[in-house]
Amino acid sequence: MLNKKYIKFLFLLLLTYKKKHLSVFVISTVIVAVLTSTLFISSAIQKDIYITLDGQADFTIQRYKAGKVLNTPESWIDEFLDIDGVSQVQGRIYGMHFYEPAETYFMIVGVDLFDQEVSANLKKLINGIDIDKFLARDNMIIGSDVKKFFDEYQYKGSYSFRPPDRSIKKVYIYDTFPKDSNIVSSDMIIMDKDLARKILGVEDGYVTDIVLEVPNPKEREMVRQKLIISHFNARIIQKKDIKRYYKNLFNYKGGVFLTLYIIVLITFLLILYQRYSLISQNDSKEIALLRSMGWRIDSVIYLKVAENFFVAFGAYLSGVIIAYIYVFFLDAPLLKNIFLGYTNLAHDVSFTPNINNTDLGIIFLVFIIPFLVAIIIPAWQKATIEPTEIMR
Amino acid sequence: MRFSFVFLTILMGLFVLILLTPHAQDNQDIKTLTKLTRLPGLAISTSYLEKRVLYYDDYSNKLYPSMKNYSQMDFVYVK
Repeated sequence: MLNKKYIKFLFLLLLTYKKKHLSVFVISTVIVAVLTSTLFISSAIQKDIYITLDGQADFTIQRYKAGKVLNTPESWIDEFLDIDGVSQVQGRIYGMHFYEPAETYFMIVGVDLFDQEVSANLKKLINGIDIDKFLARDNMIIGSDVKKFFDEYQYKGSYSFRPPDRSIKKVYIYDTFPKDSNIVSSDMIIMDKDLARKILGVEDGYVTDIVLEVPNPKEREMVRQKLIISHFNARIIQKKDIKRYYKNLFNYKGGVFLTLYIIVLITFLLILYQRYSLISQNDSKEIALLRSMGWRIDSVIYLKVAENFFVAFGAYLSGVIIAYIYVFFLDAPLLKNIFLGYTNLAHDVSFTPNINNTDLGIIFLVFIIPFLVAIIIPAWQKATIEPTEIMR
Repeated sequence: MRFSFVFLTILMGLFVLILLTPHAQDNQDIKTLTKLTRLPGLAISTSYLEKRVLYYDDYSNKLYPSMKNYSQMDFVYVK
């Protein structure tokens, strides 16, 4: 049946009813593009989340008192090193700096630049960084959105922090993080550990929290028990908890959007169904003509399905291509705010493509099958009526 | 008719190109930065409503005086 003449007839039908098909094509393309964009953004961010989480320590220990997180004593590091199975215990200095006039937070992270691994990673990240020159005076490396913010508020070349002791600490901007790392670094400021300690007001002998590794997964539960016993005022956060937290966050956000999408899709399909149910006299006559020429009911339905499949398939392809350009070339303006939040610094994030073919397959099935069903039923209803009755 | 056919062919070509483009590479900058800071620190959680670290509540602004942008008035009161 699918010969050259049949295909020519199919395209002629498409051209004859081009106005009708064009409106359906445009709406369908927008729906597919919005859904696919959401999936592209979600999977791209999720991939980056898992990359960052894989680099995390297995345990994070914080000291808390009366529900408040306090700085953790550095003496705990030696205690934790004595626990069997524990390796790489490290105190971290970090915290939020609040810029009140703009109600904006920056994340200050203090790193030990005398540590070989830290300086090697910093050299990898910032091309041509001279650690000695960096340490020669109070320098910092800032995220590109922090840089944009400083420029906007006329902090050129340096920024003066106000540590809790009411002094003024002028810190020079050494360099900016690469834009590709923006999803992590947009609000981040990295500086020497001692400088960060002074600015954040972390007393000597204390750190913000302690991280440690347990290389053997089977020992982690036992280590957790030992950590709980060692200090009753310690809060122990495991990497798997943080992973679960982020997964829930994404499932929640993605779920809310998916629910809205399903409502839109159902509404669209109902409109489509109603439109084809109230099929015009020309369409009915066309079906009747084909039937009177000897076409069987299934052939007429097949023709209608094929005609609309081209529209739906074209819309699907256009939707996916538009979504790809929108997310990975234009960096998804507006839609990315659903996932990234926009109450703090404005994000200038580039997404790393992470396309799951299964997701594209699911969109295809979820969109095309209901679309065709909404066409088949009215076409079948018309095709089963006696042609003479319609022509009359 | 020819236009529809060409249009559909171009769309399919672009779609196949998207599918065949290798997307498995990790963002090395993010990897390095995470190794450096050991923080999950996604910008996704910079909003104070979404905590950067699970359970981590930021009390620094309550415990410490707010870090305000200093003005001329600060110097007047220092005297």
